[in-house]
Amino acid sequence: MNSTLSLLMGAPMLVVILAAGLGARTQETLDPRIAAYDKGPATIDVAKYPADMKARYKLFATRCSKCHTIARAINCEFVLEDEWERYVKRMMRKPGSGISASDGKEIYEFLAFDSKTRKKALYEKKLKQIK
Amino acid sequence: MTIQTQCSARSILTRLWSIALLAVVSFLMPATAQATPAFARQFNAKCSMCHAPLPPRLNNLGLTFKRMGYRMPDVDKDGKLVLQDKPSRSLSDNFALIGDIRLESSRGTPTSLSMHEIELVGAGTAGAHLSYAAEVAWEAGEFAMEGYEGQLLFGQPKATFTARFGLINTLLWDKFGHQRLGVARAHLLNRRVPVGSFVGYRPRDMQEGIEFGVNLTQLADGGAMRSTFLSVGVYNGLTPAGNEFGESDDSKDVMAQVLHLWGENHTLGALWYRGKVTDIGTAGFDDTYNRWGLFGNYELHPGTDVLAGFMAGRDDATDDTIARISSRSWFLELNQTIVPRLAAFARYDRFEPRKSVASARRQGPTLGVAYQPIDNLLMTAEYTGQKVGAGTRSRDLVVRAIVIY
Repeated sequence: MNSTLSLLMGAPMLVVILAAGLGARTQETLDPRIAAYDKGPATIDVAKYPADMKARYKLFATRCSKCHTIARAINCEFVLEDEWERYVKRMMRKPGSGISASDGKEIYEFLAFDSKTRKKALYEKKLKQIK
Repeated sequence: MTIQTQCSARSILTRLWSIALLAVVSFLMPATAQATPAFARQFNAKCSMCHAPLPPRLNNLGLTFKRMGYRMPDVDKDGKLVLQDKPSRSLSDNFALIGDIRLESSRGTPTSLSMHEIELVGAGTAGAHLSYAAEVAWEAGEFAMEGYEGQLLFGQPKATFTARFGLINTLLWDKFGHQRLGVARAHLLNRRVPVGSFVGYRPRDMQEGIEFGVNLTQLADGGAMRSTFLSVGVYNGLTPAGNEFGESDDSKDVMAQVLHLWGENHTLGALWYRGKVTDIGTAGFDDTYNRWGLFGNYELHPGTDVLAGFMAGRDDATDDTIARISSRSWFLELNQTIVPRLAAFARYDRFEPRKSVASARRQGPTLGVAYQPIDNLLMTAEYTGQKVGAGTRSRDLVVRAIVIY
């Protein structure tokens, strides 16, 4: 086959296939609530956090973005210590998560601190509800 | 499908612009982070869940997922290991399209830009016990079925029994076959030792056959798993078409493997292979080939991975005029994640057949970087400098863009 002609035909073919594929594919439906978390901010401004929390944030950002978006954990409505404990333990048990017991404790400490700081209003509201 | 030109700075620049343009087009495609390969779509997961340091190389979860017939290891509410199956809504959901574009430059040959191939790759489950995989490629203007397999799986998640059949990738430790980071494969999988009229065996070839396996998996601390895969396969020994001498007749090969996985990314494995091919010409002699190998990788700390492999071979013929050829090959590779989505790799490869075929000896480094700017696009740049026999060192540069959807 003439190589130039072949490339001229092949490149548009790839584009057409990819474009057609975009329309044809269906993605596993995400819970709209979780989809909204995913679209939110993907970083936390930890500039004013204590040094130990800055270090824990780094671990959290590395470990908790392996399988899902980090935005999901940042924007979700878990704020209470119990909620985070349950959630972190659940993630620790996931095969391949790589979250060891000590990592899990550090991540939990960060999330509990961050919730009381960044999501203070929601934290206090939820705390009142359970009292 | 290749365009070749004189190697001038201007032509290289033009081709780099073409690849950059493709990258921009890919970037503008309205795909979400989870919307690239078929499995990421199905499981709403990021690539990094199963690949490290970058796709297509699999981490231990990815290797286990593949081995379990594309069922994801997970835990139930009681903390027990389960295999999660996400049936797709349609067959097309299980397939991904891959376009591989390459800019290649070698010493003494013109620089070329080519659409290396377009592949349709897919796999999935069909019921509780059956899974399938298929790979169709369009390369050099022709379509080819590069692989197809079915797999039966029985037992509990912690101890499964499998039977895999079809035109299959025989290697359990698939880090340098289909799942390699760069373009160049490790010599110990890729080099043949010719014996008489037989062009030689190489472990990386897809083969027709059937493989039986036992897979033991248990959960460990921190969501890690410990798995041991054992397998014995019987294969046709050559590619489906045989070779140019028609030596695919009467070839029955046996391969035994063990692979142990622990932590997120550590592996250790071994293989033994014994094959025989009967010459169907007038001489009527047999060629035999044996291999044994050890391989594995160890992640020194997150982002730094050392991989190594050693293989020894003994190739012989019943024809007395042809001498037995022993060979050995090894490699050592370091992978380093520089920043998320950018990794560098450096490998030293050596393939050493006996002195009588010293001209086939190869050794040299491969240096490269892999970059995944978005989930739909993987780019690699790789330099390989190989010394073949007593000749001069070859210098090859490959820049590759892989578009995935």
